[in-house]
Amino acid sequence: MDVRLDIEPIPDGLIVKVCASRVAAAAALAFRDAFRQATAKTEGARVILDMEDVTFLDSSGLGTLVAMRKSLGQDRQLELTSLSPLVDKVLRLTAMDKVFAIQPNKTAALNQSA
Amino acid sequence: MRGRNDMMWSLTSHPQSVRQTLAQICTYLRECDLDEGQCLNVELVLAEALNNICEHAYAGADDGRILTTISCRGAEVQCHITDKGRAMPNLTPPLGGFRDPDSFAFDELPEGGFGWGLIRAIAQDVQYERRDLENHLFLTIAAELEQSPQLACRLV
Repeated sequence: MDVRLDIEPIPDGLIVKVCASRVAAAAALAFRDAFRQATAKTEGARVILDMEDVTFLDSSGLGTLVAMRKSLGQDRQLELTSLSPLVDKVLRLTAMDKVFAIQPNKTAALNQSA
Repeated sequence: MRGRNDMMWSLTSHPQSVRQTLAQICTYLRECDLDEGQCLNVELVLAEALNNICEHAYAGADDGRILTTISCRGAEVQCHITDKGRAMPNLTPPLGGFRDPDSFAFDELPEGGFGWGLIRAIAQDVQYERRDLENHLFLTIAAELEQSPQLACRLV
């Protein structure tokens, strides 16, 4: 399963953009591995996951977001931006929205100091 | 507009087959003039139900047969899914509640087990029967009526 993440460096960390409309089932594991590699040498830095393109997230996709969050360690946040209505709903119904720092969009995330 | 007839899909318990079927079902739902939110609700419920059949009823074997019938009744969507895999434990679909993430240690935060909780939060009716070595799952997804706030409180 091919997946793509775009990595954009910012002064205090990086923005990881998920370039897919679905984070689900088969692709979920591939996203997890790609994210771990992309953030492997970013100790202490901010990590913002830009979800603008993602319109569909299922339980395996949600599991992937939690695994990404855990891979950063407890002392950091995983910031999520630009959630679609369904992605937002899946996070809220499962109460997993509490595990992430959720920003309405990239601009709001960047205006927020780390 | 052909959306009013019931539609049946025959697929196998293979991730690629599930994915292709979900895409075709979404096309059909849009032809039924369902709004985007309702299409995504149905897609999510079916994705969880079909993935559970692949993982549990057929235990990862990718050649199990699954039949999915979809009926659009106005904005209400009825789904009937059958497979010939293992029965559900206790012949009952899991309740699948969600635990408050604050009750877990950081390293133990769950990375799965959300599927049945999502199905039950979004579908209004869930019925299951075991008939002649077949599983029959009936799911009804009604139109969304600002239902998110109270559903968001369904923590256990």
